[in-house]
Amino acid sequence: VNRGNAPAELIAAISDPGRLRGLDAKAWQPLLSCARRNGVLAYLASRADMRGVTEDLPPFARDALSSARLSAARIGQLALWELDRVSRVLRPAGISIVALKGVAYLLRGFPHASTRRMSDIDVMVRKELLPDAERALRTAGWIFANANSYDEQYYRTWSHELPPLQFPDACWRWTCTTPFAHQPVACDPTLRRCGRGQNRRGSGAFICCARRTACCTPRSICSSTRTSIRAFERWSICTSSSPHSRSAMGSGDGWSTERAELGLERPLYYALRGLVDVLATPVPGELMKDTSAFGPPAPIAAWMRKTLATVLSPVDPEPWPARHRTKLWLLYVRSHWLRMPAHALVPHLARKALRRTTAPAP
Amino acid sequence: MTAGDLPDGSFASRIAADGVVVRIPPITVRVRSDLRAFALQLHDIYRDYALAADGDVADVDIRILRVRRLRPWGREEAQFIVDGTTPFDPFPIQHALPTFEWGLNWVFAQRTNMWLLLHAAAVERDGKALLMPAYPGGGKSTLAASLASRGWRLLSDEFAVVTGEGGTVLPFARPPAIKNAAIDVLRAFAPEASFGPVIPNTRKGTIAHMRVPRASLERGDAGAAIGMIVFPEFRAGADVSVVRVGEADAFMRLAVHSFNYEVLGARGFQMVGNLVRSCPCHVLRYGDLADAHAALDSLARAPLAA
Repeated sequence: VNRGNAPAELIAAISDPGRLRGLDAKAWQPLLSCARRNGVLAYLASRADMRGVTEDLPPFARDALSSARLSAARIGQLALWELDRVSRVLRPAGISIVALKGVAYLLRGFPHASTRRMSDIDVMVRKELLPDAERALRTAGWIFANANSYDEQYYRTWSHELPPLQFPDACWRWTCTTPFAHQPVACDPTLRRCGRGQNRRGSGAFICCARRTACCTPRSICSSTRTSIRAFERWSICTSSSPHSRSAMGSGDGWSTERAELGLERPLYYALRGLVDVLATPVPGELMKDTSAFGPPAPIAAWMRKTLATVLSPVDPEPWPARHRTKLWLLYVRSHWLRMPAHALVPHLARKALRRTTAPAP
Repeated sequence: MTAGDLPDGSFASRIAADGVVVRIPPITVRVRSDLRAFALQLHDIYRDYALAADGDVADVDIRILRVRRLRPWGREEAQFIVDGTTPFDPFPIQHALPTFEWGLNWVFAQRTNMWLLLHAAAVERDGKALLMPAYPGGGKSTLAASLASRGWRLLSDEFAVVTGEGGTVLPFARPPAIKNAAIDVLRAFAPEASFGPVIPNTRKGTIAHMRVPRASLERGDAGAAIGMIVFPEFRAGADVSVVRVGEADAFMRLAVHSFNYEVLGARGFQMVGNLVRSCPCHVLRYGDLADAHAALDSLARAPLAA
């Protein structure tokens, strides 16, 4: 395997870990490097374990895979601990939190959830309680991490969340978000149910039902400012959970109304096609047909599909080609376009670009 | 074939092209860089290290590349890249060598959870290894380098790589990074020791790397049984003293000095427990290298149960 094949080999190995048995030393090196580059080595290790192939691998590969799993599991453990600290501060103030994304997968017990290389923790509170949450956390010692007044305003206005918070010297940054203004139905029902729900594993946080936890993932894939194969790793974690795999793909009885309410139709359209294009996942034809109406006009759909396939595919450890970077930038712009109007977007991008070029050397 | 078997120019050319793959037991490291000065420094201090054979897998793939900026002003900078990711901010190109060493430490600590990793220097003599866990500034690198110059085999100045159930330490012998005033102290103590360039104004002050004595590299990746643990505490001008540390205290100290004790979970607990039960642990306070050597010699001669 030469370096140019490493991304394809990685996809093939994720899809069928049994292939790992046939790799020689020269093939392993670019594969491991590529998996590390794309942040999915622990995920690959978990899939290999689940298929029972790990014991058949050469010692250096076993060591690399098990080491990555241990590191990721420790990160998950730390994330849950941080979540517990946050909930201990907010609970006495009468504020319930809903865990989202990575920590939600952990609490939900999705297969492979402990393999995610999380770098932040996302929780949601009712919009009207956000000022109380901010006050309680800042009183308890959390501070805004590296946010200047412009960034602070950006987070509050356009992302509907507090700027990333961090306890001094802690390794976690975390985000306290509210239901998005343009998707009011998406999360409010969950929040309304919090008072009657059960928290999970003593974490003090609530989580959405498995189906909702899983099926909201396409939205974050398609609106993220940082798009990569890890987005699919995230969804794959959800869809691997067999009782929910079909609903995570947007299928199932009674789901059509809810997915419309949650604003998931367009993200599902893109994500399902991305699964087919990038991971060659056998998505049922009826589901593809069912979601085909959710796409944008044909030229845009074609461009987006091609672009997403490029940026969601794993990248080689070597420098990325310029066209790849351009597509990533365009998706970055799109993700902001989805949350802010043009008159705010243009100055925002100009400010970001200026900051990048004039940032003082460290 | 060692790195030193390649002429300077050939080594630098290889690093600039496909890279050079060096065995630094227990791992293999591929290095690429477009900084010729860095390549020559690396060649100089790693000249006795074996180059990998065909078919060896590089556990770590590092690039040190000049940062190309739109801004023509400002200092020249380079970037540490591992597997295509850039975990650190750019740094002045003059600091490429220490940054490579620190970066390799970071990568090693991130990736090798099959072993218990202690923030400790390790040396060996007569088949018994001495571990010296210490906080930064505790003098472990200087002490380890000085011991290596007096017949001890240098296993590492930074990592004690503990394997098995906690009874063996593997070598990870890299050029000890000697800092600030310790550079002159070590030069005076071990005039025969050989150093790389003196690099000022790094984030840890002035740094010079001592070349690992060839004798320390001859046994490759062979490990050594752990015979003694000493927590060194350097205090300028202090008299030497040795104090026995109880098992519980030693356990806590080792756990604190471990990079991955928590990551390993129950296995880490078992390994640290086995370590403190199997060998004596002491605190060594010293202000002079000769005094420290005498104290360590005395400890090494003492019966295990002392």
